[in-house]
Amino acid sequence: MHERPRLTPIQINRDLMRSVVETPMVFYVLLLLLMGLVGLGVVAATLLVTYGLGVTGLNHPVFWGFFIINFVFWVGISHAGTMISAILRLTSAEWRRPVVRAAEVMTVFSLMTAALFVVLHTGRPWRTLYWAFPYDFVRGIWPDVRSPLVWDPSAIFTYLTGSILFVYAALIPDLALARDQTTGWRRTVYGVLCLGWRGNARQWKLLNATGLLLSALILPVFVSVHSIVSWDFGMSLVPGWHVHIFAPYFVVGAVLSGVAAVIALMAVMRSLFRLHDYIRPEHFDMIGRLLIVVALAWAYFYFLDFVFALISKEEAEYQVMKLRLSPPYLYLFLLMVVCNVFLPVPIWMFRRFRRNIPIMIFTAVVVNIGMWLERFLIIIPTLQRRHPDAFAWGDYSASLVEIALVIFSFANVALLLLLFSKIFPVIPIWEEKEGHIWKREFRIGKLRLPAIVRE
Amino acid sequence: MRQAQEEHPQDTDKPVASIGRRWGMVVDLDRCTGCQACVVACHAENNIALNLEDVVLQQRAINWIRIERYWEGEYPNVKARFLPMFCQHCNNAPCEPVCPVYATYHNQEGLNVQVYNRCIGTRYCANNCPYHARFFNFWERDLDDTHREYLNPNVTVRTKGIMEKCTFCVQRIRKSEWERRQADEELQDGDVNPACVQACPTDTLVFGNLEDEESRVAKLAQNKRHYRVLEELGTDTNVVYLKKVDPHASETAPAHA
Amino acid sequence: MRRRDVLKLAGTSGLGLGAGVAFAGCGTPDREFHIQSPVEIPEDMVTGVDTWYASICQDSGDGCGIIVRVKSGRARKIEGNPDYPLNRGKSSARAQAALQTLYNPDRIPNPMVPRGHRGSGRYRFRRWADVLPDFQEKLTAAADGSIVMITEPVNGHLAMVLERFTQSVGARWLTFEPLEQAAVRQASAKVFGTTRVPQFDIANTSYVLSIGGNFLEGGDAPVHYGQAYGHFRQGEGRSRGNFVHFDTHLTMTAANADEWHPVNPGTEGILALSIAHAALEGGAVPAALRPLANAEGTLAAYAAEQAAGVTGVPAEIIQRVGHEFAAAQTAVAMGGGSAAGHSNGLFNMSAIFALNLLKDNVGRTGGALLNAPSPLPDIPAESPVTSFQEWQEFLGEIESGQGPEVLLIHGANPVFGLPGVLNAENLLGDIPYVVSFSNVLDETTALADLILPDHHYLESWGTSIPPVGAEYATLGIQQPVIRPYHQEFDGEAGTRAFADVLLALADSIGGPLAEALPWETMRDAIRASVDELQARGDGSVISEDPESFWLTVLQRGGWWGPAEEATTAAPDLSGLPGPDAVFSSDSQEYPYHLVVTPSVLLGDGSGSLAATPWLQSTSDPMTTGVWTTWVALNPHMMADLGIQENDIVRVTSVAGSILGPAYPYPGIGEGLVSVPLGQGHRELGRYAQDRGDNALGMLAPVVQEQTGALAWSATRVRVSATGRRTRLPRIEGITAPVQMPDQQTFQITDES
Ligand SMILES: Nc1nc2c(c(=O)[nH]1)N[C@H]1C(S)=C(S)[C@@H](COP(=O)(O)OP(=O)(O)OC[C@H]3O[C@@H](n4cnc5c(=O)[nH]c(N)nc54)[C@H](O)[C@@H]3O)O[C@H]1N2
Ligand code: SF4
Ligand code: SF4
Ligand code: SF4
Ligand code: SF4
Ligand code: SF4
Repeated sequence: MHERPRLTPIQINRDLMRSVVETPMVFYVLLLLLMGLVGLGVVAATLLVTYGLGVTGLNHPVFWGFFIINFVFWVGISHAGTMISAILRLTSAEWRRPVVRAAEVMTVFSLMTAALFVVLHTGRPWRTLYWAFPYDFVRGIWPDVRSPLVWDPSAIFTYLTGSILFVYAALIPDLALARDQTTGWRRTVYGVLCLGWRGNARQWKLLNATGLLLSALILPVFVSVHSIVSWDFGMSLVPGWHVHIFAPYFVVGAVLSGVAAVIALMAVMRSLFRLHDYIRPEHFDMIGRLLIVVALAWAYFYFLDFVFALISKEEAEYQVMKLRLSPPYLYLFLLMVVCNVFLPVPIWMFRRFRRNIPIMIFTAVVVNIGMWLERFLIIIPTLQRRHPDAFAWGDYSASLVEIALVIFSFANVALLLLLFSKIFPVIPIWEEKEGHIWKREFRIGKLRLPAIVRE
Repeated sequence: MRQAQEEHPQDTDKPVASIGRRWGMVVDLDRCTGCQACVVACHAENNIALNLEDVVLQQRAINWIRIERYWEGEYPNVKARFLPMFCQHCNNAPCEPVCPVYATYHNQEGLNVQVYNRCIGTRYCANNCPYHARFFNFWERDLDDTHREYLNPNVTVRTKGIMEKCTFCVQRIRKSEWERRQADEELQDGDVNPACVQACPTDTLVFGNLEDEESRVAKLAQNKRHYRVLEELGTDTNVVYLKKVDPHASETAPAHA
Repeated sequence: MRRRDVLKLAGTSGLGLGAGVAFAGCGTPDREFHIQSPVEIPEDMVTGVDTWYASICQDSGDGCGIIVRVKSGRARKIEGNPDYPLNRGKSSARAQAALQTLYNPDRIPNPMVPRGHRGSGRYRFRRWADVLPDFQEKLTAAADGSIVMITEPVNGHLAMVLERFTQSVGARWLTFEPLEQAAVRQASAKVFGTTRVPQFDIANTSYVLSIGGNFLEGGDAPVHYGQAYGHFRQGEGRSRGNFVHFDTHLTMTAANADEWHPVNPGTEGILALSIAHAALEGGAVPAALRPLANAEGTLAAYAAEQAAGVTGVPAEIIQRVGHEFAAAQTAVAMGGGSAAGHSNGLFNMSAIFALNLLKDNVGRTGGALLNAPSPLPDIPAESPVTSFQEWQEFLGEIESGQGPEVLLIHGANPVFGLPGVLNAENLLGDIPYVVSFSNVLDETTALADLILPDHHYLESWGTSIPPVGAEYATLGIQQPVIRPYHQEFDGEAGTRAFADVLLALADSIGGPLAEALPWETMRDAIRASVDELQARGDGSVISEDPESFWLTVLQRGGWWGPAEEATTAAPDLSGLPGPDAVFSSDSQEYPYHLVVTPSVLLGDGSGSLAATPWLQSTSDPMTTGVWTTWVALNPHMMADLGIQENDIVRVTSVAGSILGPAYPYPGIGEGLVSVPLGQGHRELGRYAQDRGDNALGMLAPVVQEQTGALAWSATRVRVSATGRRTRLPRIEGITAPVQMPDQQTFQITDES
């Protein structure tokens, strides 16, 4: 069923190491562009820290804005990595192989970016050490474990640690390969990084076990991270946020945006590194099918959110919903629903479209616009109509600094991915080869056999 | 309309054991004229940053106490209603458990205390305060030299990036305690008057120890007109309002149960 | 032991240990939550002793008693003086904000003369010693009667000093009050026999009828009335009072009434008489009211049915209010505000005040209490008042070349406050020598040839004779609470108290002037008066020793003691009703009636309150607007005119125009335009300058025939959109707050 062309291991090595050993012109162009945008973000962040949050559009009562939207967005994107790697690895989905590493790395980088936004959004970023690293032992003061904002960093750091381990473990054989293919100081560096990998049977066995174990362990974290992010809102007393379905709803939304982001990433890698033989239409096809389910689940939860607001007949929550459904938010709302469901789902229904890479890129971008809007609509209108204290209702529009930092976040993740691709192979070479081997030896279709059994 | 609980249930899950003192305020809406003396008094007492025009337009004005004005009815049967709003010093304060760094917490006297030097400015507490009573310092304050001269030496001047709100003029509480202690005496009812209370010409605001049954504030809190703002949220506030009396209420007011 | 057992043991104990740790961790060690002791604002606990000085607030005419907290040589906080009879410990927003007029960065720190031509806006600092001789020479050289002194209305020792000074140097003394209260004072004289308006004892009355009287926000003694109002509503030992208010639009005071009814501008007097007619059930009026009655001695001409058409108040409301007023155990009728500012203001106010005669409440608890006279015969409780008509004449003289040679200005800002058509700016500018004693650069001071900055009132001596009712004769003492902020060093720089400059001048000129003003400083003058009080041997302070008497009086903020009965004349309502209200122009071209509304915070803008960021940024009680001028319009009228909220509109009268953002105001009728006063300064420093517009400037110069006062309510205007938009800075949120039925933020009850 797979359309994988026959490739020799040597050819695979050469193709997949190409991004590391060759540096095409377009790399420099991209590098400069992204560094420019990141530089813009650094300027914006400097303004922010120097002059304070006054340079944003935040106010009383809209105390959270683009930074938190963006934070939730990037935590959402980070769900792609685990979704693709852990779940597909555990379920032995063969099509996962070329994309796992890129997705995992994107997880790491988007989490880092998300965490950066948490720090940037505080009024005194230089004091946030209190929060993540309670150092005030003398006075016996610890972070308040009742605060969702303490659960947040715990969840994110756990997920980040797990994801880094995940990436790293799967990198080891490829690092060994890189060691073997390079000379000089690079060889030394790769040599250290690959932890003395020789590729003997015991090492392979351990590697496989590690992969599985990490997959199994990270799954609960995966579910918890966005649940906990959702509790930043759900645990509050704010009508429109204090909603019990937020946790699963956020997780589903995160998977939707994250996996869609993987589509875009795959497409970029495919053309940038000429990986047409590895990332093939069938992969887009599989992801498209997965996304149909996820997008419909998301739609179901969003619908429920409305139903609950309406049937609860609670005035305060009703006001928030009313605001979300009146202009200008109505247009954003309609755009969001179109972006997240009504446009992509019909497209994904057709095999022809799922295998059309430009169309799939289009849906990926559209879904992520929709998901960004979703976070916007959860946060902004709610705070504007926060509580029936109508005297203090306000409005919000983002400042240039906030917009620059949002652009920065995209450029930053892209830049880190680009640099990663320069240092490490973006497709796990050994996994690709493994796939080839199994494919040759067990041509029995979608056989669900855990890797470890194959030993 | 839900009636206020007749007495406070002795909540066992209150964060800190009480020490026989729970500061509270009674606001008699039937007295308040909307004159704003309390607002300026609070600014003068508590070193609140100047709300320059730009700051107001940015919706970032800081008013620890504000006089909310609500409209009711249509011309000519229109009514403007005034409500002084400030931190309600909730016993179940929604702002407290969401603060990751304990910069806001409940003390043993029922005060919702804000510790400026711990606050990192997440603004979560402000989102979670149903009374919109918390204010964030979006800008570093820029005081003319001469405007520094009147600053109250007993109150911290806040920097940018931190949250602030009505403290019940805790510096005055401490001062009164200290003065009584010097004389080896107990704090008496009426010793402590926050700045807004002291200024208010109409005696709308009365401050004192709610736990002392003999105090003026505790007696007023039992008035048949008492209620608490957004009581249904369960915040268990230490500020008790006395309903405004309007002999013609039913003609203009929205129906209330 | 076998290996497996060891593992097992290790496992269980490990688990046990783990669980132990985990459970121990779940309990909350007490110590960990004891965070308050070390972190509860220890840095805020400043020990040490504050000094509190008693003084008098001079930010509005009547002077509440204040106490000022001084620490490290700086004034830190102002509170009401708990002993002072007028305000008993309470204070107003303005009194609180005096710290910001004291420490105003734009205060004039030294004597100044303009650089280049007068009004150039550039100044040179001078020494007192260098400018005073020249000043004295100019004064002595001026021909008799060619010196004019302009001040705000004052009382107490300053009034005494000014009176003697102007008399001795042969100067004319003009006082300036932008929104003239002449109608109120003269109506008081007609009804109560004294120009000092009585204190209405609302604390003890059961019914307050107010027609235009905005006693809670402006008027005589807002803090005093605020305190009384609190008692009126929920005071112990009395039942809740009833308060009915009629006014052209919903003012702050109107908002606090139990019922407010709009009344057509200029018909307030008719309304009052109609209420009187209803109260008398159509019967004959008491003798005092005869001049207002018809041949039969009744007020039949004002029967509710007829009056309803004129006043716009439904007849049944007039009837009901009349009956309630008559039936009330005690009642007062108060008036003021725009009712006094019409061309028929005297009639309006007299008719309103006359309602009190129906209740025979003068001098009775819960009625109109006459003010005790000044405790010292030679210290006046009032200063002479200059009417608008006299101002017009004065400016006319200048125009015809007969103006004064020397003009001295203190505390008044006629260039800002007089209607623009009078061209005061150019005319005053024609006077050869203008000296201002203002310590802020206001519009009038900007015309001066010499600026001799006064101390702030918190730095100087003065007194006040407040309207505290009949109980106490009171002398409030204003003492310096700090050393002058702009201090002199060897006479080289700094500010000097206005009165002390006059006294020093008197000493140096000598002659009858020095005889009339024998004191070296204001302090000495006050000290002499206080010694007189000590000799009385009664009152709030009694002491044998003059020194300790003086110190105690200073500590208490003044002296108050048993009052002699005020001398009053019998009611005399002759000459009324007089002509009907006239307006500035016809209703075709100028279809709307302009209501200028003094701000409860900034007043009419003639002082320096607009230079305080606190008052500027505190919300106007009704609109919550701050920092600028707005135009309050009925929302339906706005819709008809196609004007949106925040559209900049132009309000034009025959005499000028202003610009401001439209604010949809539900408390105003369709034919009215309300504009707050206080802004529109071209000078006055960084916080006041160039914000909003000054509606005083666009008032038409309509004169009240019977009093000569400016009819500041008589201006008609038209409103047009400019096509530009802005945002009105305000404290309320972006939507006009209306309560949600389900979750009410405040609640009301109709049980009384
Ligand atoms: N080299 C040196 N340095 C010293 C010391 C020393 O001996 N040698 N001594 C130290 C000691 S012990 C002290 S206490 C400090 C003193 O140091 P500072 O506290 O600085 O004392 P001063 O300079 O005397 O006063 C400060 C300012 O307050 C103003 N001021 C005081 N009262 C008033 C008032 O009522 N009105 C107005 N408008 N202004 C007022 C004064 O004009 C002056 O400008 O210096 C310390 N520093
Ligand atoms: S009113 Fe707001 S800030 Fe004050 S204690 Fe309650 S929740 Fe906290
Ligand atoms: S803003 Fe300050 S007080 Fe509020 S939750 Fe954040 S750290 Fe705590
Ligand atoms: S109690 Fe003190 S801090 Fe609170 S509003 Fe009143 S004056 Fe301000
Ligand atoms: S000072 Fe008193 S009467 Fe005035 S607005 Fe404040 S609470 Fe109301
Ligand atoms: S009412 Fe006037 S005198 Fe009294 S405190 Fe206020 S400004 Fe001062």
